Amino acid sequence: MERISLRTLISVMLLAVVLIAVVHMAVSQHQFRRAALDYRTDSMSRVIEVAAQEVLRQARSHAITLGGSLQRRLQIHDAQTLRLHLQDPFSKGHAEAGHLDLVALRAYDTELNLLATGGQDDLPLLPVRFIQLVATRQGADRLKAMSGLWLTSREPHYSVLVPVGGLRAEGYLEVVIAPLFNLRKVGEMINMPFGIHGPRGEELLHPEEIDEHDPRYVAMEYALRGIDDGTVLHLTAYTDADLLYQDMRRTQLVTSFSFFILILLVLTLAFWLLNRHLFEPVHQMIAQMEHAVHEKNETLVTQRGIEEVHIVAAAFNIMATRVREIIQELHRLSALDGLTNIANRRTFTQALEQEWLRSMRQDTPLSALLIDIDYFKQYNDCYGHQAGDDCLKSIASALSLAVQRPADLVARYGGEEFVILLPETDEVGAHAVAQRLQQIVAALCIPHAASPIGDSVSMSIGICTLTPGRGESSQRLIAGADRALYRAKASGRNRIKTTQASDWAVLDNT
Amino acid sequence: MKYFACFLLLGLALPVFADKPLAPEQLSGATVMDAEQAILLIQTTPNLIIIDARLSEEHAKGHIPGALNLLDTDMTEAALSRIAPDRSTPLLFYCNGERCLRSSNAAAKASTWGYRAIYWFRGGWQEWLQKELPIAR
Repeated sequence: MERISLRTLISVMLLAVVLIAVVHMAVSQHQFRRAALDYRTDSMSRVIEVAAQEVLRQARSHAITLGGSLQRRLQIHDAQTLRLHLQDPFSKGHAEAGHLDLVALRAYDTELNLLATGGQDDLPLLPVRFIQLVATRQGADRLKAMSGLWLTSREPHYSVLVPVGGLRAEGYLEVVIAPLFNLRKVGEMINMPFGIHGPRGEELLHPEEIDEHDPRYVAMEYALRGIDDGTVLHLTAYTDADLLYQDMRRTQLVTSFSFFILILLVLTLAFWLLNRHLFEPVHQMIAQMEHAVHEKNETLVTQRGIEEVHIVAAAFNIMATRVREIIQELHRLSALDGLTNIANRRTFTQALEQEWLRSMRQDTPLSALLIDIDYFKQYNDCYGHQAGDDCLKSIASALSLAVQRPADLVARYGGEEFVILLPETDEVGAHAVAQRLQQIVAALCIPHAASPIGDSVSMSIGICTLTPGRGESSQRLIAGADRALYRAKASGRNRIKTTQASDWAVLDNT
Repeated sequence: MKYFACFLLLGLALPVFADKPLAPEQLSGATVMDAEQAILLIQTTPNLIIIDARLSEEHAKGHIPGALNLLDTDMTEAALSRIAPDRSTPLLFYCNGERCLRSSNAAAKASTWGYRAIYWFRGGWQEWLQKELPIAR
């Protein structure tokens, strides 16, 4: 799997959250639309209900007024005149007729037996439930008007039953009207396209101006119930779905937009917090770690950000410090000669290289002293290797002490060979140093019984002084010193020789 | 000072906005009743005299069947005696409703003149219409 950064990962996750939010909004639009439609349908059917009840209440009020004005002339028990009076409003007209579509007037006795009919005379009898409701009333309630919707096989009717005969309640006058005449007004009241259907779906009032089968229109219905609890009429209002959805879309847009802004704000805040407390510290830590690893200085990691980063940084710092200590120790160990504790040949070679270049830049002389302990093999053979080591140690520390300038370097060059690098030292200076070294070693008085040339340990020293020229190798200095040493040994040991022209001739020829 | 002015204005304005005063809840010497009780009384008391204490124009527009019109301010002891000579005759008073004081005045006067069976239909014409009860014209 490819490596991805924490920041990328979090960014992708945040992006995914935004995407999910957007998708959710898109999907929820459907639900939103349905909820809006449901709500609209509910509230509209309530509005239709209120309007319809108000219209019927007005119709009932007009019917009662009509009944009240008729009943003075009605003699319930005089069947002859009763029918004539009931016909009056149909033949002569009536003040309330403008408010009502009068179908029939019927007179009953107190037991609700039909006595006479005016107007349409083939009307069926009132529903049984209506009659029961009227018959079971007691006391003063019997003097109150009753009304209700009912359905004949042909059309809906609205009947208002008004008591006749003043407070003696000698009978009832039924005012039968066609409710459609009044219910038309519902459309004006709610100010929307409005239609009426019968119980079996037959259209009784066509909505004006619109085609009710146009899918653009959403129907909102209220079922008007009759006296026997069955549905008598369906009142339907039509709303333009486009307008409704336009409203809804605006609402949704505002809601969604604010939701989106909120998510964006939260995500920005989250990203800012993560950036400040996680990404930045981690990135800084990584940079500092790389710096600490590649640069050989004392860089440590800054501890900031969240706790986990702190812990990692602290752990890294502890480890870095520990590693540096170990490296330092290793460096020290690798630079020194294990036996004599002075610089080893490797250190010397590095130092020579540096001093060579420096002397070349500054155009100063550079001297090297190559020192060999005389007859050291015999010393070892005579006193044993332990004593040989001790001898080397003594001489090494003596040499170190004898060389006083900080830039001078004393190193063990080989078995019993030492080398001393003297920067900015000419041949005379180097010779003086060599002489002093010989005196100091002599003063140590290390007994050497096997030496053919004396009682104590002595040294042969070869000196080479060069002012490095461009293109010359530093090895030339060592080679020169080696040549001088060779001559010192060849001429009897325990003496100091300096490189001569003949030496260079020999060297340059080989 | 400002607040005082406000209160003063409010105090002056209140009577303008206020409704007419309510008729009392109870009346000493009279039995208070609602429409249903009144109908029951009318149906069970043949010698009951119903007195409509409103103006004659109001009476003409519609009244409880069988009611006589006698404006409360026109009702003197002599006038009432002509209608009901016997002080034990039951009398039922009504006027426009709770906000009308005519019937309560008339009933109170009748009580002081010694009529013993006084009934007061406090809800009056308003309640009668609201309950859609039979009307005489």
